[in-house]
This record gives sequence, structure tokens and C-alpha cells, in this order.
Amino acid sequence: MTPTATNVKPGDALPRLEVTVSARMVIMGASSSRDWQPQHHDHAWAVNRAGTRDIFLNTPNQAGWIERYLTD
Amino acid sequence: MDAEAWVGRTHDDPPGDIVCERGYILHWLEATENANPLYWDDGVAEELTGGQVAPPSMLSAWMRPLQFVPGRAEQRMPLSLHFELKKALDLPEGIVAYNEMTLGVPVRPGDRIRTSQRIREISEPKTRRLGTGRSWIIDVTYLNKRDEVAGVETYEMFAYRRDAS
Repeated sequence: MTPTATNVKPGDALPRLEVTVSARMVIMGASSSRDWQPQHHDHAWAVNRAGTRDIFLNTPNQAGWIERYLTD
Repeated sequence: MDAEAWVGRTHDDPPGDIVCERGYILHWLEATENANPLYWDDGVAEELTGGQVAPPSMLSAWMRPLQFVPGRAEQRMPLSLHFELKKALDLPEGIVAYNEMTLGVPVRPGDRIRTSQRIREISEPKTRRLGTGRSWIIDVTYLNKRDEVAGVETYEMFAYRRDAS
């Protein structure tokens, strides 16, 4: 049975959503949320300046993926 | 710099440069591969929400300033209170460590959103893998032109300076 807001219970296992994150996805996420902080589109800045492993999905877009998961 | 003096400080940013509109919404749906018919089918939107609405997770997109506006001498920053605090504490880097969103009225095409921001707390200096700095919690209230609350986001930011290695 597909879990919905009306039948899901605490302790239920939810289905997995697996998404392979690409640079395009990260940058499109930044663009669509209008977030031009460089760690979300500039690899050299992210690694050399901010000290992160790579560019990464910004917070609003992560929320967008969670929203999509909830309503799929 | 007395970081504690920033606790409780508030700031209201002016309305965003852009108005909620379908093109931005489609770009968001494209970026998150979101097939929710609420956003793609006007009939469904009419039935469920009385017309088009923006995905609630897009809330912050509507307040981010344009990167270029003719005649604007200085680039506006989103969440200006956060960036002012970073500057005051001389912490050049920053990440979001935690985010919580409480939703209010939907944002609809034609809405222009402004924010009211408040620093709730600031930590003592601390060292994390990325560097040494402070974290702070900032509450961001999003309001439409009717001063209705479209949502409240709580961010925990960690602003830091990379440690010399």
C-alpha cells in the first residue's frame, strides 16, 4: 500500500527515493531558487575557498526535493 | 565585536525584485523533477487551491534580489541580517547547518514577497571541520503584499574562517 498522509503511522518504513546528484542538478537547483552563493555553482570556490568537497545542493532546493518526495 | 548584542536584532528587507510567476515555477519543477499535477494542470490547481500556487519549498526564491538592476549601485544581499552579522564578525564563509519551514498562505502568481528577519541566538566561538566561527539561528518571516504570512523559515547558520593549515 502506498503510504499517504492519512494512512502512514509512526514507525512505518517509507519508500526510498534515490537520485544521483550531478553538477547540472546542483546548478539548476541554485538557479531555480535564485541563489548565486558561489558554493552552489563554482567548483573552485567551493573546494579552495569554502573548504567543501565540491559544489552542493543548496538548502531551498533540498527542500524542493523533499517536497517532491512527499507529493509523488 | 560583541556578538551577544546581535541577539534579538531584527531587520526588514524590502519586497523582492521579482514577482511570483509561472516561468520561475516551471524552472523549479524542472530542477526537482516534480510532476505534481497541482503545478502542471490548471484544472487541478483550480479544484485544489482555487488557482495556481507556487510550490511552498520555493518560498525563499521570491525574496532573492536580482544580480543586476539598472541604477542600483550596490548589490543587495538576500537575508541581509545574516550577511551583516557575518561581516561584523569577520567570518567570510558560511553554510546552512539546519533549516525548518513552517508554511502559511500560498504564494500565487502576482505576489511579491518581503521578509522580516530576527537573530534568535548566537553560539560561542567553535571549531568544526570547515573552520572556526560561530553558529546562529535566524528566523525569517515571509510576507505578501497583504502582510499575510506565507511562511517562516528558521535557519541555523555556521559562519567560519578556514583554519590555517
